[in-house]
Amino acid sequence: MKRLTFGAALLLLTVAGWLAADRATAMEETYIGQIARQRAATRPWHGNYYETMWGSPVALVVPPNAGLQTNYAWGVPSMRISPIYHQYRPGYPGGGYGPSGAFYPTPRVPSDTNQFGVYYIRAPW
Amino acid sequence: MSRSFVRTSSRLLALLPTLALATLAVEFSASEAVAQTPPIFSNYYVPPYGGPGAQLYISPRPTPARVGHVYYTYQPVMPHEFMTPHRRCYYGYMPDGGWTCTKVRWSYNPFNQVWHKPQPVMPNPRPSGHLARKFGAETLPVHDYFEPTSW
Repeated sequence: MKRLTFGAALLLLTVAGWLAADRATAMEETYIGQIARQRAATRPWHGNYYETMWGSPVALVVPPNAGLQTNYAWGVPSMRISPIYHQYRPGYPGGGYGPSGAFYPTPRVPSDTNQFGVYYIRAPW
Repeated sequence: MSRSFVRTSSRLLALLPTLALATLAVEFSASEAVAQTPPIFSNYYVPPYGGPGAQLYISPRPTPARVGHVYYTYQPVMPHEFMTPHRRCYYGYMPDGGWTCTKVRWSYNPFNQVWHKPQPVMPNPRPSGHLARKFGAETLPVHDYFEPTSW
């Protein structure tokens, strides 16, 4: 009886762990995943500059497990490390996907890597 | 003594399948993403927020309809799937109620480091040591830059 109880408890723990690991690895219910999703919903994926060849900001697709990006600039701070909040998701959310909005061109002498008009977005899981 | 050993052994034997199941479950679920099987061609989006949105295929802007389009008919080989090691199961549901599971695995090659020794890809103009003796002093790389063998 004791063995049966122990086995049953272990089996339950296994199933619970399996489910938890599945949810965790999907990065949907983790703390960082939630933060990223919430912040991505309240800000655009692009900056204020357009990429010269396309005339609009360009999304650079990075692996879904890429968490941080590095930008370099003149002055202080000369290097910024910030999270990549946005991630591609399935399902058409509506809205326009062509060039729209007013963006600045890349300055003749760029002072920040943000000014090249290329911005990171994580690939879907 | 022997009785106690037998009892312990039988307990361990009884636990073995459970432990094996637990190990398999944890190992299998550690890197398997949970994702619904998308349709034949499913695009991925970032919704617009005060400007243009972004779509994964084709980025950065949609191809006009008159140009034609490229469809990915097999989700496991969509280009973004090769960006990171992963395991995934694609479920297909049959009209009669049955289902299939197509397991895919994209991972590192464990023998890559053994079979393909990293080779310098940039010549060093000022080498030292055995490279200098072999190639001469003005021909080999400044930086010992090696092509990455894994991503």
